[in-house]
Amino acid sequence: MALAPDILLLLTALAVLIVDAISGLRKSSLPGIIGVVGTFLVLLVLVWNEGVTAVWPSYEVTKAGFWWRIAFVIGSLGMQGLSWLSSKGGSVSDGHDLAELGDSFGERQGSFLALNLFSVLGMFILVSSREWLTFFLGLELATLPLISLAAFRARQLNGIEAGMKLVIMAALAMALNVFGLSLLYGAVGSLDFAAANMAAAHPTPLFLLGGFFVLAALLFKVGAIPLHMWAPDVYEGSPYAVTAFLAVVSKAAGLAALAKLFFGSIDGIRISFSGFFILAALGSQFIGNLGALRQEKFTRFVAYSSIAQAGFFLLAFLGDAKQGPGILLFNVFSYGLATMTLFCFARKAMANNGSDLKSLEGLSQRSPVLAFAMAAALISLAGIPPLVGFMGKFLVFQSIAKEGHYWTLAFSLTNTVVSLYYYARWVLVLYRKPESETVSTPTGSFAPREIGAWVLIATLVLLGISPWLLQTLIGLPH
Amino acid sequence: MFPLLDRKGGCEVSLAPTLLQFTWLSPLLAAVVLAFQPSNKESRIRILSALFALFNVVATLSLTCLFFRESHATLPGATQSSLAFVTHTTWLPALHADYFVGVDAISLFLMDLAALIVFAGTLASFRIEKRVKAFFILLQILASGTFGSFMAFDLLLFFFFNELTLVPTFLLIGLFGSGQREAATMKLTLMLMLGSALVLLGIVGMYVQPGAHTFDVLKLSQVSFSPAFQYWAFPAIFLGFALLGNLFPLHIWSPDGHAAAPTAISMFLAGVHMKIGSYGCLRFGQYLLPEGCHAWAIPFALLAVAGALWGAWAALRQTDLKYLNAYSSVSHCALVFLGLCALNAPGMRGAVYQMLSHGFITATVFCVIGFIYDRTHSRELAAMGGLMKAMPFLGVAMILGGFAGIGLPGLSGFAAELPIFFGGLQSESSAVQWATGLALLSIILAAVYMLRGINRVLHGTWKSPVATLTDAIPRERLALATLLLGVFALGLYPSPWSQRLDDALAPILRQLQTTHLETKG
Repeated sequence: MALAPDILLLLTALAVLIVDAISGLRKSSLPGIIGVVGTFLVLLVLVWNEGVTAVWPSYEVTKAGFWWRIAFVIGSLGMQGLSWLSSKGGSVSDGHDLAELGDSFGERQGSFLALNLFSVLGMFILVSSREWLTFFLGLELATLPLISLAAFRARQLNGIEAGMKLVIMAALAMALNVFGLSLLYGAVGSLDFAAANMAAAHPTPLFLLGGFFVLAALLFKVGAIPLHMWAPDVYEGSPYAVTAFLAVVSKAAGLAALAKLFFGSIDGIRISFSGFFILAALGSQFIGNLGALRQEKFTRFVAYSSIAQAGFFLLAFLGDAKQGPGILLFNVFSYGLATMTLFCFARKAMANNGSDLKSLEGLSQRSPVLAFAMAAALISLAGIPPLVGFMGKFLVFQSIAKEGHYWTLAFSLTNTVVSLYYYARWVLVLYRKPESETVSTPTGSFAPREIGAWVLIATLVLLGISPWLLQTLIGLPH
Repeated sequence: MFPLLDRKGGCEVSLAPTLLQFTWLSPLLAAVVLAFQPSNKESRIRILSALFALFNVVATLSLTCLFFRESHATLPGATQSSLAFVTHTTWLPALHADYFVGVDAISLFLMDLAALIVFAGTLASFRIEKRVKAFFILLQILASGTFGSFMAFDLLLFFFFNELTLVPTFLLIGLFGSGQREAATMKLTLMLMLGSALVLLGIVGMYVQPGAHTFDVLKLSQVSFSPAFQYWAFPAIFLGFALLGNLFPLHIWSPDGHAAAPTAISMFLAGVHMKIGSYGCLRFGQYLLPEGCHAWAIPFALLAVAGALWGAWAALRQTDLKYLNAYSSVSHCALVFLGLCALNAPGMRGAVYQMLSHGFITATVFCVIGFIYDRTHSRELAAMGGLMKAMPFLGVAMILGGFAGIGLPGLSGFAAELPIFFGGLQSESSAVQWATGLALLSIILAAVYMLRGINRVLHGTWKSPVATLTDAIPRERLALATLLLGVFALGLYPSPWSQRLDDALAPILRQLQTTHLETKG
């Protein structure tokens, strides 16, 4: 029973693939429906199975794993919704041929979905692994489908660029990972996490070196420096839904993997790496902020902002192992919610099919609710209460202060101030009047999309002030 | 009405704590109600928001009456009982953060100030034409955050409320301001966020100290933080708040911000919002970290004096009325910090009194400037003259505000600044005494720039025909009367206010003196 969600997810992915193959080149919405229904079922079964734990030699179902899985499945649903929104919204409203842009998946929708679901399955395996090979298998299953997803706009130059960049960086990261794992195996003589855990208490130099390479490889997944540079180009070249998936779910998977190792199996060497964590965290914040500061393109802006956010998440690894996973999860939820909100409305919000800052001008007149939702998401990312983003940052800050990292705290607080500049800049644009005064009737406040916006706004606020999620995640046994 | 006062008869039910919550809840409610109004019904939106603001005036004033009544019966002695209308429930058990609100005299009087200024500001903004709905919604959210900040006795809760004011301020100046509004609002917001970051550093620092692990201000005041910690945490918190409270040289956001902001927001920023800063310095800096306070009082007092003189000198050289008043605010707010750093009863009482007094004065002056601008479309001193003939009511209001700023006895400025200078001169440190002597010069400078401003604007001759200019209409008179009421109430009869403030300051002073004796012993 404990494996039901994983098996169901696998079946859904296979079903999508098979149905897609059977229906051939005819444009059919059947794979999409199977995908959504299947993913919903996975979510239901997951929630149904809450609290169920089980252990096998190389696989385990834990309580912390439960929340990571919830995050991945919700993210996957978000991506499916986004791909549906962008294929629908584009062709109907602005008359542009979105197939040319590559945002409409047309007949390839089935493979698109299947790849997405396989990636999520990889993440499931990742958070459930109990030994290095399963871990590696999960990580790669999570990453490889993303490469083809990123290259989905292959008829476009930047689509090819995105796929190329991602494949090279992913290969580099994979190589680092394998190298690190082999060193760890050499140092311990066993693939089991339990053995690594014992060895980590008194690490040999070889063990530390192995841990270092694994950490470096995972920083690629998280999108932190020094392996961050793929993000802006890949985000720009990929379809919207994939960008959102990369920015949120894939990053979350990287964090889950890091948490799995550095709060779990090799927790002992976390303190030895605190200098490296500080460097990666502060560096990512700095580089991300620098890139986002004057950024005009929406997807590149999100990319840099997500690099900076990754810097904040990495700080959690300086705190203690008891609260750490919960803090990371809280941040994943808050960041994911805000970023998904941005992506949900960005396509609709940008006038004239643009993709830059200027095309967002005057959104508050075109659709006040969407402007409000996007502003709330941006402000939440900036970390201003009462929105949920503040709580996430606050949890991180108090956890590193407990360990006495006051300088790191001061530096990241400074970075928060800097980040407010670019988030506020985008908020101001949403509400600014466009230079060319075009008369347009604002959409009503209760159209379907607007109702979605209200729900997202309410969630951003309620998670920020209500104790529910916080209480559930903090003090979660790992 | 009756349950409010029912303290006898075995029935302990009291509506007062609920009413206190309503001061921050009702503006949010107002924002929601306004959000559902159609945006073309502008006059309905204006009247609704004025009514909500009026409700808060009534609520805070009746709470004040009740407060005066209660305190007569139970003399505040211990720290706990000096808070009134307390509500305390758990909020985030995992972090030991509670929803803990209550008031003492300092909080309550500042809330009165806030309510009156929001009301006057709402009345003063009826002339706003574009995006009326958004303006009043943002103004109400701003008000909500401010009321919450003054009543929160849990640091995390306070931080939430305080930050709630940030985004509305940003948008109000960025969208409704004048001149270089986007640059000004960006500067202001980033500076304020920097202040918040410093405060957060201090708050998180305090929270993780051994023995603390709470955000409860009263409990934290019992924790004895190590001196080494206090030496760095105090300046972080104090400077963070002082940035908001306009201490030299961290004041650089305020003149541009005030000048770019619409009238009501200038009134609110200078009159109330900055006071959250000086309030925070007192309540969360000096109260919780007394040893750090002793260590840093002298440098901060010197900064305050520098600010008092710099602000006054800069005000002398301004040609724009709003800039003139903004720099005069820098000067007057600096006196608040001088009073706080005197570390004795008269100084601190004067400081809080100055917060209240300056709030009313500066709001009056900004309000008059706004009304004059509505009529003449200019704020340049050089373009003004002879307005007294055309608009006697506004002229008198401006003179009263100006004279109160100079410190004319009978008006609030005098009653506030006198104890500050007494306190400064009685300070234990001779450096602070000398600095206070220097700060006295700022009064002379204040007389010069205020009289110069008043003279240029009101006297002489107006360049264009005077007939087109009209005096204040009843709504504007009501706004100004509300503010001047505060100026007179504080100025003519200071003793009841001072007495309550002394009671509220007693625990803070005790905290400061105990540690001082310990360090000496």
